[in-house]
Amino acid sequence: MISIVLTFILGAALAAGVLLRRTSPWIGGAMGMTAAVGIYFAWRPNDLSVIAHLMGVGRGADLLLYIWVVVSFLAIVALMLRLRALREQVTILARHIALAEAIAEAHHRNSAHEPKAP
Amino acid sequence: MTDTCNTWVVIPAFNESAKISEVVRDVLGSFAHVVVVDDGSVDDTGAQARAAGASIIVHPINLGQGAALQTGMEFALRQGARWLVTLDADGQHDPADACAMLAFAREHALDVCLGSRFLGRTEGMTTSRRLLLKMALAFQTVTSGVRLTDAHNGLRVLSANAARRIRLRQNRMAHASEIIDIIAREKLRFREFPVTIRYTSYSKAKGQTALGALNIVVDLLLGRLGK
Repeated sequence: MISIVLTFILGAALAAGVLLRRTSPWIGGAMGMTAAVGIYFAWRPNDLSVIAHLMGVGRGADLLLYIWVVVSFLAIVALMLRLRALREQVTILARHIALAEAIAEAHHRNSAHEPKAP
Repeated sequence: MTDTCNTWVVIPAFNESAKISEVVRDVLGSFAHVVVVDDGSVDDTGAQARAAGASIIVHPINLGQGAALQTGMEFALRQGARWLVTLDADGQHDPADACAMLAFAREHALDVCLGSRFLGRTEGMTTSRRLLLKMALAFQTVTSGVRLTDAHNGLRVLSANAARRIRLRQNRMAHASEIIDIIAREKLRFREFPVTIRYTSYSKAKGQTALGALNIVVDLLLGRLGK
């Protein structure tokens, strides 16, 4: 039962990853790959335990938890970098607006102080 | 008396209505041109600074001190500045120090002159603030390779050449470390200069906290990852 539910959820994630590849190839690819591997292990959980044993981890569920922690950390860093890039774009736009207004005002003030031709 | 007619003083300000008029008037006593960058304040910082005689640039949203500094420097350069002075809006810097630094920078043909409270003196600095600054200095020395006596001092003199080469990407308080990194990378000629910092209850309330210092470290790390 749980395998069917997981397959539906991970299948949706796989589809989202494929769609996301057009705009974010790396994130979309990683998401699709993770979902596909997840579907495989949902149906063959013993294989995960075999890999866990090979890596010196007691249970497949423990290995999954460790991987989850690492992936989450990398995802947070990637998101923070994305936010930073967006903030830089906002900064450029806000600065452009602020400077345009200030320079227009300075120009207006300077021309008001210039002596008029007789 | 140092000729300051081609010098612009850049003051980033965020919610500084209680102090900005006094700071602008003090600076205008020594310098002809002052630009205050109102970084999206919700009080009347901009209006107060304008009334006191400064040119005003208003950020439509709050971006951070580093972003405000970059905006002010770009404005000053477009107005034909040959020298730029940066100082804080909370009144902790003395305009007389800025004048002396400007004369020193000209005399020694420097690109950058950095104020140092530890070469000069401080009034009212707490032990915790001193410790925080020493830790920041150690971190900065390790990451930039530049040996200084002070970190995160907002009083600086820059030549126009140096200001053109400084493109701050750190919007918030990490810009002070970024400037040191740029000085090292661009091989700008720099010296430190003794200055006086006056801590008041107002400036202490506005100053950095330990959490702010942690934010600076995170911002610097992200800045390096995001290059």
